[in-house]
This record gives sequence, structure tokens and C-alpha cells, in this order.
Amino acid sequence: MCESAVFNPVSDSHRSAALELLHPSDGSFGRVVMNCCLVDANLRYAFVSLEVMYEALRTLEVLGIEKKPDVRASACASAAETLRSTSSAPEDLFNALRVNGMLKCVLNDKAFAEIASRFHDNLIDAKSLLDFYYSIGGLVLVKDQTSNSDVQLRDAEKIFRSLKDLSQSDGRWRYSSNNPESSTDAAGIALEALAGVISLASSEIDHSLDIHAPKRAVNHRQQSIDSYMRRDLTQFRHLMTLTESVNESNEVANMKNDIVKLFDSIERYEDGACYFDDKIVGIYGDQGPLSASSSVVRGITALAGATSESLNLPGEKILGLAKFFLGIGVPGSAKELYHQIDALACLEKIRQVRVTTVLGSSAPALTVNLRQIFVSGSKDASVVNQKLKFDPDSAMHVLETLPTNIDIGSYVFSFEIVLEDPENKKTYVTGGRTKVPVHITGVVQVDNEEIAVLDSDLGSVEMHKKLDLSGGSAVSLYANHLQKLRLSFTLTSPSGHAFKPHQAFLSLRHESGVEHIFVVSNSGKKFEIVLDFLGLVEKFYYLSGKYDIQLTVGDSVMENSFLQPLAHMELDLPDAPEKAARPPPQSVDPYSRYGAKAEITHIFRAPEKRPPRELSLIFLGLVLLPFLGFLAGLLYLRANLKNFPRSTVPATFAIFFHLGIAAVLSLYAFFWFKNTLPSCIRVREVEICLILTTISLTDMEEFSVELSLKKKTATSWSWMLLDSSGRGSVLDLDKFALMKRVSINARDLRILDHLLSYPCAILGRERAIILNLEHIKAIITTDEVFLRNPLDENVVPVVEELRRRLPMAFGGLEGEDDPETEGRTEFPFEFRALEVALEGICSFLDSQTRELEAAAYPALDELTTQISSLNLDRVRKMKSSMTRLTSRVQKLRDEIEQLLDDDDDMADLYLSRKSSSISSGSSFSTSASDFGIGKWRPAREDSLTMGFMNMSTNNTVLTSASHLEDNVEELEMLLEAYFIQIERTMNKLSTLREYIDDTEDYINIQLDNHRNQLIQLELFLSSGTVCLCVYSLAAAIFGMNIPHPWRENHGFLFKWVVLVAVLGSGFLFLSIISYARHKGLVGS
Amino acid sequence: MGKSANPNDARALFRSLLSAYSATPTNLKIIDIYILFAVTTAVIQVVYMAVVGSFPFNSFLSGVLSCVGTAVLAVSLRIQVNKENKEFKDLPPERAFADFVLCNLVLHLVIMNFLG
Repeated sequence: MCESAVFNPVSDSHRSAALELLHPSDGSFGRVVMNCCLVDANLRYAFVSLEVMYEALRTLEVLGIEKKPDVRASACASAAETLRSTSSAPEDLFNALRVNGMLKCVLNDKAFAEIASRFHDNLIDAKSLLDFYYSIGGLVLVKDQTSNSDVQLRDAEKIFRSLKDLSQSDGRWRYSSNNPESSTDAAGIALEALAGVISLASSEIDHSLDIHAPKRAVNHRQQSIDSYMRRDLTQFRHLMTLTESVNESNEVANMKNDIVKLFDSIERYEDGACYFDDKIVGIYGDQGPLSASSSVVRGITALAGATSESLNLPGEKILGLAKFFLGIGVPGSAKELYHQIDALACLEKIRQVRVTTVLGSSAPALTVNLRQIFVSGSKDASVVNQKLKFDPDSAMHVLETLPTNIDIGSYVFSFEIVLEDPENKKTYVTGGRTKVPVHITGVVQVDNEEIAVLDSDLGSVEMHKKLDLSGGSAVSLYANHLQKLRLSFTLTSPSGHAFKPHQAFLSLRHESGVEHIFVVSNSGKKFEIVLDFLGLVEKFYYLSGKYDIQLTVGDSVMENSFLQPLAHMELDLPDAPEKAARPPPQSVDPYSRYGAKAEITHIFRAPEKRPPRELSLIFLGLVLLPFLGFLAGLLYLRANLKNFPRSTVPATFAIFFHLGIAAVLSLYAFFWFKNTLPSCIRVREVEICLILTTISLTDMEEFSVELSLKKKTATSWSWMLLDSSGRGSVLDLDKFALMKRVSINARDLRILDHLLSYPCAILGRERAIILNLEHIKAIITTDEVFLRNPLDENVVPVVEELRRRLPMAFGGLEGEDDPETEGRTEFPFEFRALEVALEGICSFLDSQTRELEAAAYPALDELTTQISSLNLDRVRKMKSSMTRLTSRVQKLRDEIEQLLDDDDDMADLYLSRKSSSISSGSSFSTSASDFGIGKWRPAREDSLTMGFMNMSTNNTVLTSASHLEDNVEELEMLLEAYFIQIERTMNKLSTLREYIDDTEDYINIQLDNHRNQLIQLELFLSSGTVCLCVYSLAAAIFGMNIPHPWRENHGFLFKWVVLVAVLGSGFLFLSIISYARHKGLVGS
Repeated sequence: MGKSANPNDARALFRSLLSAYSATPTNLKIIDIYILFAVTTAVIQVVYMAVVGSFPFNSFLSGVLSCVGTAVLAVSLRIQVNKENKEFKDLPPERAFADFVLCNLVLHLVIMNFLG
């Protein structure tokens, strides 16, 4: 068992590039040598780039390959030339220094001093991360290579801060401050640069960052951070040393925090290999996972070296990284090889992962235990605990005896590494349990093989033969369709257990080539198959005749797998019935069954029969004949062009008309010949274009100017900038300029976009307050106010107010040296601006409410007196505008209330305080503000307050801290005032709403009353109609024109009939009405 | 209703028909010739189809439809242009001709497309 195989996955042969370097006898040395040749070739010919040269040299150095002296001389010369030249860029200088340091060329101190000063100059106006990196790296190299040049950083702290500013919350870094994209690669570079800063100015940083007074407080904080961060990690020992080392600045702690976060973003393969992936590709060259990971590893190594203190990185992640680097194999390009080798070397330097077996240093004393054995394919695992024997000569751990319960088969052995010396636990990380797949083979014994032909019904043995599988002799059998065939044998593994092979097949093959295969099943050791021919007659296609019987038993762990003919059998089957399936035709060549199938030929539609050419031509002539006849007819009729207009104007029109028709027809013809519609359309497009060009050029110019204007307004917004003295200027800033200027995100800026209607918002950001109060959209910084759309009619009064109020308060402040003490009595700038904005929006809403009220009350009163559709419409409009206004007021109210509820949010609005605490420069206050908004705060409230209590015993910074804490009241009071005003507006609106509701109710009641009256009237009328019906019934009866004796001589009865009928119907009517009255149906 | 197989009657009939037709205006005659031309062409194509086969069916259809369509349009034109026809008295012949041309253009655009 190779020891390295246990620690590292390099035992997998395809991954073993680095290992093979150390064990050249392993065989595939060639590829590595080839890569080294590539590197060497780079050294010789690629002198164009010092970076390539450095990478090549570094690769060779790590691999321990000797440099050739001639290469060295020329490389030295090239480096020295770059170093001496005054015009070379910092990047070239840095690379030259690296090469120089690698080759140890001779260079005088004066040159170094000059280079150092140039790096210093570069540092001062460095902007991007790479500038910092090259300058600091160069200085570190200068420091390493000479002893007496001036490499002390003048303001290490400032550089440190500006580097820190580039960091992102997830542990990644940005390349420069105006590039919002963050990358892992940049994180590695930044960490390296920070390490350089620390090592360059270690003494200085210690002094400047070591604040004597809050030393203990800082320690407490740090302890709380660290204990929170690493609660789950077991290495508290480091923590203790950490707290003891007082000169460790908490910037470094923050950085470590960043590193831990960075490691959280590590990506993971299934086999445990970890790598950093970079999302951005193509901005700064190739940044694949390899270069990103190696950059991070290099950065962490440099940092660990510089801070002289171990970083508590999770062991398995380091192991994963090592696995990743080893798992790549031997990469193709020299640059990738450099990344890989360099990162491995760095990992070794961290001394947390024992890649020593990879790059060849000795391992500490340790033991390897075999802990578990898994049978592959099943879940159960047998736990053993067996120690591997160590052979010191070859540094190999050997598993001497197999555990007793191991049979043939495939297993997974799980090994565990235990360090013998507990001291080593601090410096080495073992790779957990390593699983090694093991394949154990053996000879399987085959016994008791016998074959028999049985009578179907009785089960009596007709024919019984013993077989000898080892020999080649096949027996002969005879059977008919009423009989059965039985085959049985047993398989035994070397340790005497039952063995089930992967394959156990019985095949019957007819002489015509038809083959049938049966699976032999087992019970325990015994394998048996019974073929009942009666049931198989169909399957055998009623084919009688000679069958060859063949047995196949095979498994990958079985050393004596076999495929053997057993017997020949004469099978007698009944004749096939009419509709039985025919046997499939057997191919002549048995292997052709698995060979290529016959090619499928595509049959296209047969071409149509074309008529003979002559016939077609004859018919063409025939078709032309009528045309000739037409022309002849025209001639016969003496058709002429006499009517064609002669005078110029009608003639031109006529010609145009015919030309138009001709054009359309030619277009048709064109289409016919080209046979494509698009081209035809294109022709029309060309026409349209021609027409367009004839439009006067001036018009076009105006049009384009208009277009460009539109474009411009789309990208840049107009802003009113008001500074602290109240001077205003209108600016056209585009988004990005503004984002840079006030350092806010695009998301925040989008809130102010009035194309997208965002709700009201008051947001406190790092350096700015973002206000979106309906039309007042503003960004407030500590000394400036950016106001959107200053020319809007609603915004103009706000601008006026700001102009008036901003300088007034500032006047009191001017001349005062200490804004901190004055800040208590005076409002800070941002609050003055905020107050004006709030006042503006409150009064705006209030005035709108009042306007609405003034319009609404008379309209409602009028509606109550007269319900007309005009009045109703007016009230409806009023109501909808009131609802809109209410929701706006509600929104603002909610926003202010939310702000008032959360002290943290309010504290965020204290821009001046935040900025002063940042610029005051004490490490404590940065951390304090970090704590103010940091995410640990809720979780660590108790320990924090403890920290604060401890602090309050001794120092002065602390008093300001406590002063900062209670100062939220100021803002609270300010907001409360406007909250109350908004509340009042809200009340007014709700009163108005109630009034409207009352009016609505009144109108509804009135309408109901009307409806009731109508119903009453209807009742009267319908009952009247019923009575008249009764009367007319009588009239109808008497008016019937039927001869009847009654009709004669009864004229005197007429008046009685009329009278009785009238009285009857009148009585009926009265009784109905009185009934309705009695029941209360008719209103009083 | 006796049957008279007298050829003279038929000849007299034709003569009277011809004399009646010769009275029609020339422009109507031109249209008539045009219609005759179109119909004859269509008939020849149909004969071709019957004799040879309708292999490029699209082409055959478009050819026949073109002829029949123009014939129909020409008939419409003749109806509109005819002075005797009281129904289209208000319609100027120029307008009728313009309609004819436009309809022909549309018809042939479709036919060109269909021709394949």
C-alpha cells in the first residue's frame, strides 16, 4: 500500500504528474519532461516577456531542475537591462526583479535605491489593484535583495486602507475602484499585496495601529469576532495565541475574516477537490479556475508569511485545493504548469497540508489503520481496526494480512491516518479517511455438475449423465417434447462460501443456427435449470433435430471463467402447425449478427414522366396561335390609336400610366425569373430609399439632431447641485458619473428614476442619503445635495427653500474648529437638507389635501340637494383623486414610521458622523462603525455590550462613542415632527372620506325612498286595472253575439247591469286598497 | 312547333346574327376578340393537359386560371363599357378600364406566386 496513495489521490495513475517527477522510475516521466522542455524553450526563446521568463524559472526551481548557465546569463542581462532603463513600466520592473531574485544576479545598490524610489512614486498615485500589486511587490523584492536601500513605506496605513477599500463583502476584490466587478483572482493578488505592505511596514504598522489606550477593548472585540467566526472550528489554541499577541492589528483580523469568506465561495468537485472559479473571463487575460486558485493560494501564503501567524483555514479545503492542483495532471501550456507548480509549492509552505509526498519532503511518524471494508454494491460495511505495518526503508505502509472475512469480490478499503506525535497535529492535516477500491480474485470450484433428461409427468429419470466440465468431452442426449432437461452444478469460492457469478447462461443451439439462451439461477451454492420442452415448443419454432448445449459461467473476480460445450441433444418436437411463427433467418456468418446492418438506401420520388419535346413545342405554337388570331382580329376591326391623347399633359399622363403597368409587369417578370419574393421586396425597398433620399437634406439633418438630442437626454439626467453654502448649479450628470461621485449603487440610483415609479424611500447609504419623496428626488451627501429635475414646477419651491436654509445654519458653524462639539447644538448638513425635503413634501401633500377639501365639500353638498349625473361624476372624480392622495400620504407615513421604528436605520442617516469617524483614522472607530452596521451585531449583542462596558473604564475615544450612540434622538425628533404633520394630513383625508361615505349613504336612502313610492303607485295602478278587467268581463259577457232568449225584451236591465258592474268593481278596488293598507303594504 | 331541317333557315339565322353583331361598337368588338383569345388559349391548355398530362400541375392551373380570369374580367369590362347597358350608365368607361387593369394586376400577382 503506497503511503502517498493514502494521503493524496495521486495513486490514480492519470493524476500522478507531480508524483512522477519524484519517482521517475514510475514510467510516464515523458510527459513531464516534455513540459519541462517546453519551459526550457520558453526560457531560451521567449525573452520578449520577463513574466514568462519568471514563470519558467519558478517552475524549474520548484521542480528542482538545474538552470543552465547560459540561460542564466542571458536572463540576468535582460533583467538588468529592464531594471536600469528608466522608462520601463512598474509591471516590467516587478517581473525583472522577480527574475533577478530567482537568479541572484549581481546588481549594485544604487540601482535598487533608484528602483525603490520609483516604486514609491508609483504607489502614491496608484489607482488600481494591479498598480498597488506591482509597486508593493517590487518593493518587497528590493527589500529581499538588498539590505541597505530605503524600502520603508511612508504611509503604509493609507495604502492598506486603499487596498482594503477594493474588497467586497464576499471576500473577493475588485481590480480598481471604478470597476464594480469583483473576482477571485483579484483577491489573490490583493492578499499578496497586503502581505507585502505588512512585511514592508511591519514595525510601522505595529506602531501606528497599536493604539495603546483601547488595546484591551480591541482584544475583547477581536476575541468576540473570532470566537463567533470559528465557533465550530476546534482550534482554539490559535485563538489564544491570537489574543495574546497584542501587536497584531485588527486590520489583519478583518482580512482573515475576508479570507474565510473567500474560502466559503470555494467550488467543489465530487471527489473533494476544491477550486476557486472566476466568473469574469477575458478582461485581464485568462482567469480560469487554475490561475484564480493559484493566485489565491499564493496570496494566502504570502500573508501567512508576513503576519508570522497561522491562518486558521479549514483543513479539508486546503486538502481539496491540493487535490485540485494534483488532479489537473500535467497541463498543456507553460503558464498553466507554472500556476500549478507554484501553487503546490505555496501550499507546502503553508505547512497545513502535507503535500510533502508530492514534492518530496519527509513525512512525520504516523500510523495507518485499516478501519472499514465496504462490499461494493451494498451498503453494509464491516468495521475492522487493523494497523498497517510500516517499512522504513521504502517508506511504505504494508497491509500484511487480509482480514479473515474477506472473500473474492470487489471491496472498498477505508484507511485512516493517525499521527503518532500529537505535536504534529498542529502543523499537519490528514486527509480524513481515504477509500481505496480493492479487487480480490480467486479460483472458483465447480462441482457436482450433472445433466439429466426427465419424463415430464412422472419425474422419473430417463437419462442421467455425469459431466466433467474440466474435460472437453460432450455427452449425447435424446429427448422429445414431453420430457424435461435438467442441468445442475455448484460453485464454491476459495474460502468455501457460495459464489454468484455475474453471468451463468445455458445456450441451446440448433444445427440451423437458431440459438436460445437461458439464465441459470441459483439457490445457495447449487445452480439448477430445468427446461420443460412442452412449454418451449413455440419458442423453439417446432424445430426438431440436433441441438448443441453450451454453458457459460463468468465473473470479473473469477479467475477460471469458462464457456464450454456440454452435450449434443437429439430433440424430437411435433410438426409445426400452419400459423406457427417461422424461425428467423440465420445469417451465414455468426458474427454478422453484431456487424453492420445493410445500408438504408433512400428512395426519392421518381421523376415525373416528361412529354416528348416536340409535343411541347407543338403546343407552344398552338398557344401562340390565338394570340396571332387576336392580333389579326384587331387588324380586321381596324383598331387604332387615334384616341391616344395628343396634347402634352394628357399624353404624359397616359404614358406614365402605361409605364406604370409596364413596371409592375416587369416586376412580375423579375420575380418570375429570380423566383424569390424577398429580392422583389428589396427592389421596392430600393425604390423607397430613393424616394427618401429626395427628401430635402435639411429636414434630415433636423431629424437627426432631434434624434441625438433624445439620445442624450436618455442617458444623462439633469441635476441641481446645492452645496453647503447654498449655491446651486444645474448639472447634466450621467448615471455612472453620479455613482462614482457619491459612491452609491446603480440600484439606489434607479430608485430615483422617474420612469420607473418607485415608492417613497429614505435610504441611508455609506456616504449618502437617498431621498425619493414623490417629486423630490434627491441624493444628500455630507456637504452636497443633488436634486433631480430642478425645473419641475413642484420642485422649484423646494430648491428655493434649500437655497435659503442651507447656508443659514452653516453660517453658525463656520469658523468653528471642532464640528464634533458643535454638532450637538447645530444640525448637521444632511439633516438640514432632509428637513427641507420633508417639509417640502409634507406641505405639498397638505396643500393638495386642502385643495381637494375645498373642491369636495361644495360638490358633495350640491349632490345632496340634487342628484344629477353631472354631480355624481364630479364626486366620483373627487373620490378617486382622494384615494390616490391617501395612498401617497400613507406611503410617506409608513416610510417615516418604519424609519422611526428602527434605530439602526436612523443611525445610518448620520452621514457626517460616519464620515468623521472614518476619517478620524483610529482603527477603533472603523471597527466601531463596522460594528454599528455589521451583521454580527444581533447575534453577539451580549458580548458586545460587555466589550463596551469594559471600554468605558479608561479611554476618551469611548466617550465619543457613547455620545454617538445616543445621538439618534435628534433625528428622531426631526422625523417625529413631520410624522405628526403627515398624520394630520392623513386625518383630514379620512374625515373627507367619511363625509363622502355619509353623502353616499344619504343618496342611497333617498333612492330607496323613491323606489318605494314607485312601487306603491304601481300597486294602485295594477289593482285598478284588475277592477276594470272585472267590469269589462261583464261587458264582454253581455256583448257576446250569440242568439239567446234573454236578449229579447230585457232592455230595462241595461242600467242595472252597468250600475252593478261599476259598483262591484269599485268595491273590489276599495277592498284591495284597504287590504293593502291593513297589511301595511302601502305607506302612510 | 314543327321541325324544319332546312339549311337555309340556319343560314338566315346566322346572317341575321352577324348583321346584328356588326352593329356593335368597335371597342366592344375588341373586347370580344380578347375574350375569344383568352378562352381559346385556355382550351388549348386543357387539351394539352388531356393529351400530355398535368405534370407541373401548378403551372397548368395558373395558366388556365390566368386565361379564364382575364376572360371573366374582360366580360365584366364589356358589361360596364356597353352603352346599351343602363345599369352602369353613370360609370365612365375610363373608370371601368382602370378597374380592369387593377384586377388583372392583382390576379397576375397571385398567379405569378402560384406558378412556382
